[in-house]
Amino acid sequence: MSSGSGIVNRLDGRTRLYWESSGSGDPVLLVHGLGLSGGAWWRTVDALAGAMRVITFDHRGIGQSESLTYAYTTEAMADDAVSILDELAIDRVHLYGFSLGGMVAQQIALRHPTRVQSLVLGATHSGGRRAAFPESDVVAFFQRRATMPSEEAAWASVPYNYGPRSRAEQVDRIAEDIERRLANPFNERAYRAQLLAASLHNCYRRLERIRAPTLVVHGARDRIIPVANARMTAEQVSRAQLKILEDAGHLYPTEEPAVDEAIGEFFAAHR
Amino acid sequence: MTFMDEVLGCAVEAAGRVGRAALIPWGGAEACVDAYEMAIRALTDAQLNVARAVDVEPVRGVLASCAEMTRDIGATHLSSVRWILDV
Repeated sequence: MSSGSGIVNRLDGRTRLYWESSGSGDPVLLVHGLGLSGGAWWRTVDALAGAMRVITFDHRGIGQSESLTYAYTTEAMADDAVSILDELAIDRVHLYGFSLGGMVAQQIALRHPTRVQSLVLGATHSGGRRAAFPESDVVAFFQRRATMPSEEAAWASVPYNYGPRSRAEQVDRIAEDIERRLANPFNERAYRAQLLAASLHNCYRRLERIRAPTLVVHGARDRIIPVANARMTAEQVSRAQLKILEDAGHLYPTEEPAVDEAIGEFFAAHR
Repeated sequence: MTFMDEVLGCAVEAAGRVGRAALIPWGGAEACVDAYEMAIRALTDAQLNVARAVDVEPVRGVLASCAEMTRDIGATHLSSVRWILDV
């Protein structure tokens, strides 16, 4: 398995984007969620890198990436991702976005449609008025989370991130997630900027313009982004398949390890 | 839903109806918002192309930063307008 890493310097001279690549084969770009570095994809990288070239990166302001300002939009984050593809001289990729990363992936598919071979939208929503919002206690927690010490915040997030079955039966896997998450520095300002980007995101009406084969994946017990959003997204994208994971919460890659294999098969079917 | 949320929702709905009606002579709300989006993209790309062509710092950095501001401010406008007009 070949691997590599690097930094893309954007034209403004201050924005730097860190990327990593593992494996060989058709390229897949993984776009991660709120406050997490590209390293948060470790389970999925291990699952996909046997057959594909898997590229992860840190969003601006997170991990080893830096930005000029703390004012983000999902459009800006999409253009960042495409600048990494440009640096690596990759014309088309399979694209997998999770949570906030799914919103960025929608923007990539809309702004740069020729770069997307196939698309997986995991645990995400398309924004706009029709989006199903989380309950008020979930919103209040994520606003409060930015001011909590990292370890306390990571453990306090567990009831929101994982479904009840996973919390009872997969404590070791949850602890592994948190250990990995704590290994990467958490940037409060970038987290708030990403929250703002997510709240401004609005692609619902334009999803019908996406022509890439699309798979929408969501946990039925997701409290952060309710599963109704997945159904709306799948109805709006013309070539979308919908996969609902009945027992899973928001972080379904931890709770349902088999899903990465299913996603790999989806990419293989759309080479 | 609180009383204020309901009031805000009604206000946004009313503003959307007025906006959609006002934009009918120019091809409708969706066409107008799409045209604005294309203009933002074109302006951003033009600034980035000039930045690439100018190999002098700090001019290149300033031009690239202007392009990013154009894109992000435009994206914020577009998101808000799409919300209000529901397009």
